[in-house]
Amino acid sequence: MNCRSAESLFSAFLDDELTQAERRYFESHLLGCRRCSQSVRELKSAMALVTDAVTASSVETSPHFEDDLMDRIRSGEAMRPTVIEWIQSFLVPDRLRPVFLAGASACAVVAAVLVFQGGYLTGGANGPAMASKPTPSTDAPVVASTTTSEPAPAATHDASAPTTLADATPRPAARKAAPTTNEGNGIVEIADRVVPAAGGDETSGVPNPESQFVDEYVNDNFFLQRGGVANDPQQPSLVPVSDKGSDGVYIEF
Amino acid sequence: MNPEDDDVPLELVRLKRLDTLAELSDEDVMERCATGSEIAFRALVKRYRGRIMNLVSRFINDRDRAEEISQEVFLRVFRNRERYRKSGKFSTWIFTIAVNLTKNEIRSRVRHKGTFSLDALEEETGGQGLPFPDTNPLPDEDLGRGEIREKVADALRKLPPRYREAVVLRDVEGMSYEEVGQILGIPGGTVRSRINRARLMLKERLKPFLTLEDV
Repeated sequence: MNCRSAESLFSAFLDDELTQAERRYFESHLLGCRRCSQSVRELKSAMALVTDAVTASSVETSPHFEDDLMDRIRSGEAMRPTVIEWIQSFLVPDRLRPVFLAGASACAVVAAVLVFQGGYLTGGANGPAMASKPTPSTDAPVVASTTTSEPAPAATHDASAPTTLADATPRPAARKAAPTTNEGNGIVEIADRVVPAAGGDETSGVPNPESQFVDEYVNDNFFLQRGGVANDPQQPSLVPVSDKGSDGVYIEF
Repeated sequence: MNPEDDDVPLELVRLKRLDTLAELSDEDVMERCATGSEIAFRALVKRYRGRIMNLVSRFINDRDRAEEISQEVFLRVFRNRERYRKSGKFSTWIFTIAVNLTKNEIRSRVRHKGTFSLDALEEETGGQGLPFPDTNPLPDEDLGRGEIREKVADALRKLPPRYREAVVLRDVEGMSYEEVGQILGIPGGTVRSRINRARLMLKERLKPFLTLEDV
């Protein structure tokens, strides 16, 4: 412990507010440092001086302090709450409980209606409307995975033969797949999804076997797309991921 | 009023009850006050009026205004008596109210001057504060002590407000570090550092008057 560190502990030492370890280090420093030892003694003396001076000069309230106070209370004039106190009076748990209960009930009704409607439209809890809902994006670094959960024509797509842009027209709601966190490194891996082409059965969740490409969900704003045509002025929203552009990987905004 | 007290003068009954309350802790008395006992409230006023007045006076350079603020502190205690939770120390609660009202007063004064900066705040409180108002004229033999008292008052006046409030609560009001932290709304490490810095500043300014003691 150096003198500067020791100085920051002077008051805590005198007030017995040091931890055992701190006290041990501090006392061993004091034994070897005359300057700090002197400073601690001066500090103790200064504290005593201040305490004496304070004790010798206290301010008394006026003799009618209490009566004035009680008069103000009885008159009611002084009992009007301030704006902040008035607001706070509504934040008492007893008063808030009915509000919370009403809110919770309303939420439960809304949730029940949503679940019922969702089940009705999709024909069951595992319906595609639920399954294809976008999952909230994550701020974690993203790595596009090349693993495909089920075989699809697009999975074997050759980068040298990109698909037509008409085929590549995105359908964001159907493209998004849930990212999974890669344990340990916080990186999110994206499972590929086959995007149904026009005419595919989107609501049933069955991938169209004629799909021309595979895309990879990155986040809510864009995704990687295998295929497409680089630098096509008709499709400026397709941007190649690398400078080469020959790998057939683009970002669609 | 109890039936057995019917024949006893009201003031005596009040004093009797005050005696009973004297044995109770602040928290217990406040609990009675929360149920509407005026006697309990009066007991709290008696216990704390001096300490609150002294605390406020050390920051406000106006005795009458300091007394008004002290009254406001007790009014707030009374107004919010039902919101007090016995789990917390009463002294911490009332001192927090006092410190906040004092800060509001200082801010208001600075604002009326048309300036709002830390320097102005410091000037407002540090330049004209009343840490140790000299209420009693000193006899000749006490002039030496009077001079020292004045030096101490001056040294405290010149402390930046954030250091002064910490050291006043600790060394003048005898609060623990934890209580100081609760009242000022700052973490324990900050309390420790502010108290230490304040005392080091005081030590430098009071050096000529120090008599060294063994640690």
